[in-house]
Amino acid sequence: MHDLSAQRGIDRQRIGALEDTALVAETVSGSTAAFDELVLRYREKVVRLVASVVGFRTDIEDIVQDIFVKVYLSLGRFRGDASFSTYLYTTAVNRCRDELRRGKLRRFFSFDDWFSSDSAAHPHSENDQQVDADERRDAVRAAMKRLPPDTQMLLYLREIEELSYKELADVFKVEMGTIKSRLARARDRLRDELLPYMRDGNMPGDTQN
Amino acid sequence: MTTRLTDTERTLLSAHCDGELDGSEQDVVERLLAGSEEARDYVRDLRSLTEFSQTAFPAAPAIGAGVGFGSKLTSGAIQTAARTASTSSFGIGWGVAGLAAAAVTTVAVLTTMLGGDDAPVSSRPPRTIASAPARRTDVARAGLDLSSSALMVPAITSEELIDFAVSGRLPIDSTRTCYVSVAPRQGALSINMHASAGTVPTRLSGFDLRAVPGIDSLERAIRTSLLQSDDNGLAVSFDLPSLRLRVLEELQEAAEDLPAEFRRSMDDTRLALEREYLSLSTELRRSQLDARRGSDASTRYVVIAGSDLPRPTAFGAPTTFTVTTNDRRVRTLELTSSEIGTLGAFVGSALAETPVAESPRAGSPRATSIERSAPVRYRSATPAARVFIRRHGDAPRAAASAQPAHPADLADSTISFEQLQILRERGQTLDGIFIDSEQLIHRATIILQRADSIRRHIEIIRMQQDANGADDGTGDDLETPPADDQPEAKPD
Repeated sequence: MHDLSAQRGIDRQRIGALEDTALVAETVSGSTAAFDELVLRYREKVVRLVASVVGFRTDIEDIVQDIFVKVYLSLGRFRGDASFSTYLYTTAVNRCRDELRRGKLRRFFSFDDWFSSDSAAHPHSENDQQVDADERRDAVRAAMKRLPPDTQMLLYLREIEELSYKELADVFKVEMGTIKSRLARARDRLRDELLPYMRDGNMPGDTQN
Repeated sequence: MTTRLTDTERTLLSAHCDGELDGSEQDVVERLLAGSEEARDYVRDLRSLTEFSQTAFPAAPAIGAGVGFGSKLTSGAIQTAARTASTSSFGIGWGVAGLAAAAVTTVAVLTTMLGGDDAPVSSRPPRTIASAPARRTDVARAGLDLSSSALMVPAITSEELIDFAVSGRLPIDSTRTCYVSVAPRQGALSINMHASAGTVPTRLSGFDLRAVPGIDSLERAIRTSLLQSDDNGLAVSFDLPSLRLRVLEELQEAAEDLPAEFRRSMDDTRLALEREYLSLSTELRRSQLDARRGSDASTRYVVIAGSDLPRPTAFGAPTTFTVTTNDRRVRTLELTSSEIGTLGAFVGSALAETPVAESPRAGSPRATSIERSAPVRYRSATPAARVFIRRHGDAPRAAASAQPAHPADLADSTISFEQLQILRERGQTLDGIFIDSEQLIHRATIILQRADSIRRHIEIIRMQQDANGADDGTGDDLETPPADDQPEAKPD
């Protein structure tokens, strides 16, 4: 028994040190531990990506599980041309688009849920620093609300997950130049929305006239 | 905010911030930055914007393996679901898969209705992904009381209730994916499904005005429409007396078009329309009299309210609901979100004055029904939703609840629609609302005035036709309401 658990520990260490590509190969060969590691590495990122578009709905786990299931079932066809993360994000983006298309979203963009749940974790901020952070979240939320879902995902993957333009091009299946111009346009819009707040404290959407 | 930088320049500067420029582009950007203060400002803005956004993005909730959020995101759950999906997709025909999906869904619904949400996570089978349709949310299930033919009462906020009371519209909530409206359209009473507020509704079914539906058949039709819809997140709430009057009003509005129809219609159709009008008139008058006498269902009111009623998605913990009737019977239910659909049956049976079952759903451990002189506070600490059923003439009596009564709640029996509207415009909300019989009489009066107007209109048409030598084909005079029944005119 002791030997078995020790062996498992060694396996886990070995698997934890593997690159994504190697984990994919081991998963395809039947290693559940390898897939476990992939899920552990990426599930939170996928949750955040999905939530950036659909919010923290009650069925977000189902959506994310669906994404992993699709990836799991198609890993045999994964040739490694792109990274596993790109492959996973592509599936996730497509799934989010499906979700939008089906009209099952209560709101196109529900960072409301996200932010409110986050606020719930830090209710009634007492100190100025936290109040500032809360306000900042509100400002970003208001600005992001005005962007199309694809743009929200693009910004999330670039600003938070820091995907390269090449990876973004693979995920969204467009040319790199398109990613470049889309990001620039999105930032322009965010800049227009957020700079007044950053400079003068005017919340996005406040009428300036 | 405008800038004189060109699109290309801004695109290059944006990519520059990301370190995504090739050699030649980098040269261009460096020259631009060296020569343009505006370009430098722009880059500075973008960098601070990125930093600003990054710090503002909240973290995802912690994913705990096996318990709470993320239990479906373990490798084991995913692989099990994948195996099921794979089997369903390739091993079974689509028809069989569809049946299996329906069975899975049914089992899931039943499991939840019978308290499945309280079952340990580890004991739940993983959800099949490919074969099962999108899972309905708890709220959606809660909003539809599948077992009762009486009434549907889902979770409803006080704001929705006020909106419904003032406008007569069924509740619209941005967290719900669709709602239902009832409105006259093209000579019929149409039941429409709206995917979301502001979208073009889908007409689900309709009633011909020549076969004016009773409220029961209307309700059944709505229920059927909802069940046939494969959209989810649906929630509809109404109290029968108010809806009844509302529908009558809408019928009345539709009936105002009848005179125009007379001109074009054949004699037999005209006769049918006249009968329709008379039937409508009679119904309206009965409503008014019922309201005056306080002896009809239209004078009993159901109010579900709470100053801080939890949102549908927040119905995780049990919530206490109380039903108070004028004979001082108080029934208390403690329900979770998955059980909340039973409230409809509960209120419905109270409305119909039929005995309430000891337990609305046998075997449900949380549901209980008692008779006491005062409601009992159960162990729930969540704000209570209160249901009032009141007859005209009774002193207003607010059911005690899990939280102190709001001052507005205590005074609500004297609040008119107009006052409600004023409060609403001022952004104030109320704990509870009584749609009192005075208000009801007022509304009925308006309806009858409209009916009289139509009657006069029809008489004028008939006189014109007689003068032209046309045979109206009926030979009957329209009935005039007895003078005693004439409503006391109230200002509009």
